[in-house]
Amino acid sequence: MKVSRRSVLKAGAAGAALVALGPSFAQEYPEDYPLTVIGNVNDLEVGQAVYFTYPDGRSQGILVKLGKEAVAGVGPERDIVAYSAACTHMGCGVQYKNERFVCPCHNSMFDPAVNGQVYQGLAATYLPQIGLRLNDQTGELSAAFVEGVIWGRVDNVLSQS
Amino acid sequence: MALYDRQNELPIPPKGAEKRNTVCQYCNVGCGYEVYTWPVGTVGGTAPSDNAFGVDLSVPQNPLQGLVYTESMHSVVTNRDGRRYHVVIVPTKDSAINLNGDHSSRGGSNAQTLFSESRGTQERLKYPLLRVGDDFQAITWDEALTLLGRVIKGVYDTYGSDQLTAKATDHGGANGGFGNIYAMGRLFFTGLGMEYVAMHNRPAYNSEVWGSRDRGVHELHYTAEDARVCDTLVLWGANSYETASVFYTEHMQPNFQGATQPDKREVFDEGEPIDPMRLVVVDPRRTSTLTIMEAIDPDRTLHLRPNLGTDYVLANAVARVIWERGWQDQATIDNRTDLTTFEDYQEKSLQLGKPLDQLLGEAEEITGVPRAQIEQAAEWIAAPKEGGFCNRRSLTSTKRDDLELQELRHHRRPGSDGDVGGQYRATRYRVRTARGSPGELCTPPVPRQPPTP
Repeated sequence: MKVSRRSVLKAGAAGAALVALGPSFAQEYPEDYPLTVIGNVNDLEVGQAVYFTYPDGRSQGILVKLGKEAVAGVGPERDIVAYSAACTHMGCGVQYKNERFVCPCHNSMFDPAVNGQVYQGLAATYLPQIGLRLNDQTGELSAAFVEGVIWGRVDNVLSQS
Repeated sequence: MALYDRQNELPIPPKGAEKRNTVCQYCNVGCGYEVYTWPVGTVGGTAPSDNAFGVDLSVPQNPLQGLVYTESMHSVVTNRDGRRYHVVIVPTKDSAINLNGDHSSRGGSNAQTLFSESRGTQERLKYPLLRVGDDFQAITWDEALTLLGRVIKGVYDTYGSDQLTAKATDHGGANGGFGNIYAMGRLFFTGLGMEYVAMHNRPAYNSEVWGSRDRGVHELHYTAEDARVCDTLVLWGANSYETASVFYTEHMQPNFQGATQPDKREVFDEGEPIDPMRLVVVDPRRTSTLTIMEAIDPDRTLHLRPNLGTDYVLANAVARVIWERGWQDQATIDNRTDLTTFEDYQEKSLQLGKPLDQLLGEAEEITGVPRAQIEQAAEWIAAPKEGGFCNRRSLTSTKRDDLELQELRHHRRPGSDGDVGGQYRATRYRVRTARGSPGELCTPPVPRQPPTP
């Protein structure tokens, strides 16, 4: 048995009670995540999804400019969003079709404009949304953190062991 | 920014965590789940020897094959001993129903329904509330039951039992089905002598699928085997992808895609053709079940869209076409029914006194379903396969049933294996025995003479 790495590191002595409760109650800290350049707003076309990997090479993400305002969207139109591409049902890669993410395995559908909300199918949790940082000068887009557990992982940031 | 609380990691059940098997609390598909519980304050490690899953969690799981454990499958509860426990409820890999750890959005949320002070469940009522003036006041269960009992008795004594009514869940309250609310049914019907009880989502003690139930198709009937081996699947008012999701994704769709041929080889008779499955959907709506199947192969899907409330007429018309072509399974009729009301069925449902053209013309007008589609449905459901083998069909009405037996259900001999134990057990033999004894060929098509009026 071990106690959760991040909880120990971040919660510290003052957070002992939080440690005891486990991750459900522990404050999460985005700075655990790498800051990774994943594209440039000037290269994006409305409706053309781009795949990238984040927070490591074994996790595929999907970046899309929706052409309409989205929850946590970035850019002048607040319409650029990124998500883990792994379906929260059984981990297959979702595809972007007609303003929605569709999983080819069991036909779950997610809404990119609404935090990855499931609106059809077998998935029980929203698609994890990837927090974006936009450099206003260069248009460079960086992935900064993930909200929600990427399918197939017990920890979004894999241990360096 | 997330619209609800999200996690970045999941607690790992330590080796030695208590493990129990369970069945999903939701729909009647009955998927298997594993429940892990362990005291808050400890977690397992990622090495297979350090966690209760026995799985290497230091690496991402493979899609479709790996351990299925997501955010919605964890909760923290306070047990009766006053201590807090992690609870993890994951789909098992060891079930003949939810193969490969498949699960629906319902089953995937089993853990979230456990009461926890830290989530939305904290808003659940813990005590009965009594309306006093403009406020609700918490009272004890004893007080609530006493009050309830006195009101019921007061109405009963003053006005009689017919002035009492109940709206309740039901699976056996009337002593049918599996009796999971047997005591409540006895209270309503025997103890209080109520004349009127409405159940579930329905306005009365009735079916929500009259068109099929009134003809003998009862709900809650299905086996995964049927869906895997049937030649024709009929979804009569059922959107199984949404309402019986795993049943659909692991059994119906694989059959449609040809992935269940080994199952068919095992069950089918010597020389019996293994044809690609066909789907008949009877629904005014274009359901997700239909659109998914259409995307796979539109030529093997048939969509009948009856006007609201007319599927009863549609079912009679389909049955009449089957009768006219001589496609009914005579061996099943002979061996599994006592035929006591068969004449009544011929007169009222098949309406043999009416010429076929007239009946189909009327059916088309009432239901809005073109005659050609009615005839095609009959053919897909009942036309014998090459070599004279009976078509094996499985029918779902909100759930599913076998078309042939649904028509004959009223006529089944009491005590025959179909009736033993009521409706639930009656479904187990559907496809395999929907034709007489093994090796028997389907009755050769014999066109029937129109009866003399």
